[in-house]
Amino acid sequence: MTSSDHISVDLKVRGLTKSYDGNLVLKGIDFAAEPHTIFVIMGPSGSGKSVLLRHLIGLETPDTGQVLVNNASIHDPATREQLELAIVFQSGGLLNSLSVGENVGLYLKETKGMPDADIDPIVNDSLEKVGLNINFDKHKMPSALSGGMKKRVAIARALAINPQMIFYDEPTSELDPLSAVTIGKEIQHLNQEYGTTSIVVTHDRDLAFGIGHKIAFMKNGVLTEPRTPDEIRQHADEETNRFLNAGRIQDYQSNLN
Amino acid sequence: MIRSIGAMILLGWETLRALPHAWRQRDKVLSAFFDIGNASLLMSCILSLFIGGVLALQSGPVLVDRGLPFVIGQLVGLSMCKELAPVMMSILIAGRVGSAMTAEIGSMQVYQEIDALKTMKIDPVRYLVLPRMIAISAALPMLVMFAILVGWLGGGFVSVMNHDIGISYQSYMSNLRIAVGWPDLLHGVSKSMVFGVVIGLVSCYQGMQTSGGPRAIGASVTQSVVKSIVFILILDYFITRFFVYFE
Repeated sequence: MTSSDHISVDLKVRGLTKSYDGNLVLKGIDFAAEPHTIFVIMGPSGSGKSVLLRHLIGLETPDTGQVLVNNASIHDPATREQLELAIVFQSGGLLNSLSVGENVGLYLKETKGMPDADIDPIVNDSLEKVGLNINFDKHKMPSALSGGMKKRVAIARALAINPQMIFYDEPTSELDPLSAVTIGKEIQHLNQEYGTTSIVVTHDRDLAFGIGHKIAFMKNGVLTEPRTPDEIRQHADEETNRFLNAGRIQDYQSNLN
Repeated sequence: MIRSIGAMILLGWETLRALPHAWRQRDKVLSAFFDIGNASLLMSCILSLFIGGVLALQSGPVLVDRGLPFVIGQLVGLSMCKELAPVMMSILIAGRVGSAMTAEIGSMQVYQEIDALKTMKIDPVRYLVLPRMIAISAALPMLVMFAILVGWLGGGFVSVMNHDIGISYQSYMSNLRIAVGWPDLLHGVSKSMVFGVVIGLVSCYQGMQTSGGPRAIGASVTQSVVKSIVFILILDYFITRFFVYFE
C-alpha cells in the first residue's frame, strides 16, 4: 500500500443531533477534519464520543444533520460503496471464529472476492507493518491474543482494506503504558507514511496530545472548536484544564491530607 | 410481538434475496450443517426411541384389551410420522441448536463483530444468517426422517418385549407398512422444513437484536427458545389443517 494507491479524504460534520428515548446525546455537532491529518475527539466517559463515532462511520443515522466525506453523505449507499473506510473498535471487533490471518483478509475475501493466493501476501504485509509475526501470530485465534495484540490485528485488518480514512475508538484503552505508546506510534506512522486521514476517539490525554494535529473536546454531547495541541495548552478553559490535569499524583495526595 | 414477527418476515425476505450468494458461503453452510448433526443426532436418537416406546406402551395394552393389537403399528407409525417426530425434533433443535445460534450471533453483536462486518461492507444477513438458515432448513427434515425410523423401532421393540402387548415384530411392521404411505412421510417432512425455517429465523433475529452486555445474550437465548416453541406449536396446527383439508 502506498499513499498514491488512494486519495485521502476530508470529513465534514454539520449540525448532527441524535437522541435516544428523548435523551439528547448529540447536541448539534459541527467540525471538519482535513485530509492527511489526525483529528482527535477527546472527552470524559459518557460524553457521547462513541455515539458520535458510530455516526461518522455510518453505523447510526442522525436525527438531523449530515456527515459528509468529500462532500457526499456517508449515509448514501452509493457514497458508502465508493469509499474505503476502516474502523479499529475499542474491543478490536475481531471475529472470534476466525484466525488472525482470516480476520485480516476477511474484507478482501468477502467484499472484494479475491482468491486466497492474492490475499495471502496482503495479509502478511499488513501483519508485518504492525509488528506481528506472520508465521506464529497469523494462525492464532483472537481468544489467544492479549489486548494490545488484538488492537494491532484490528489495525492490520484496517490496513488490508487500504482505507482512505481510519477511525479509532479508544485505541489505547485497557492497555499498559508501553503498549499504548506502541499503538500511538503505529497510528502516527500510518498517517505519516500513507497520508490516511485518521479520526481518533479517546480519553487518553498523552495519546491525544502526542499524535493529534487537531483536538476537539466533547462535553455532554457538545463538541468544542477543534484546535492544535499548543493552542489548547495555552487557551484551555477551566473545565478542559480540570480534565487535562486530573489524576496527577497531587490529586491523590491532597485527598489523603 | 407483532413488530417482531414483521421484522422476522423482513429478515426472511432479506435472506431469500441473499440466496444467490449461497454457493460462496458453502463452507459455512457445511460447517453449520455438521454442527447441527453433531449436536443433535444422539439426542434425537434417544428421544425418538423412547417416544416410540412410550407410545406403544401407553396404547398397546388398551388396544389389545379391545381386540385391536394390529392397530399398534398403525398408531405408532402415523403418530411418529405426522406429529411427534417433526414437533419433538423441532423443539429439541430449537433448544439445542437455535439457542446456540442466538448466543453466537448475540455475542457477535455485543462485542461489535457485526459492526465490524458492516464497516467492511459485508452484509451480516449474507455472511451470518444465510448459511445458518440453509443448514437448519436442510438438517431438520433429515433429522426428522431419522427420528421417524428410530421411533418406529422403539415402538416395535416395546410391542414385542412387553408381556401385556406381546405381538410379533412382523405383525407390527406389516401393519405399519400398510398404514403409513409416502403422503404421510411428506406430511411430517414438510412440517419439519417449515419449522426449520422458523427456528432459523427466530434464532438469528433474536441474536441480531441483542444489545447491552453479556446478560442480554442470556435474555435473547431464552426469548429465542420460547418464541421458537410457540411458533412451532401454532404453525403445527395450521399445517395439519392444511394437510387434513387435502386428505
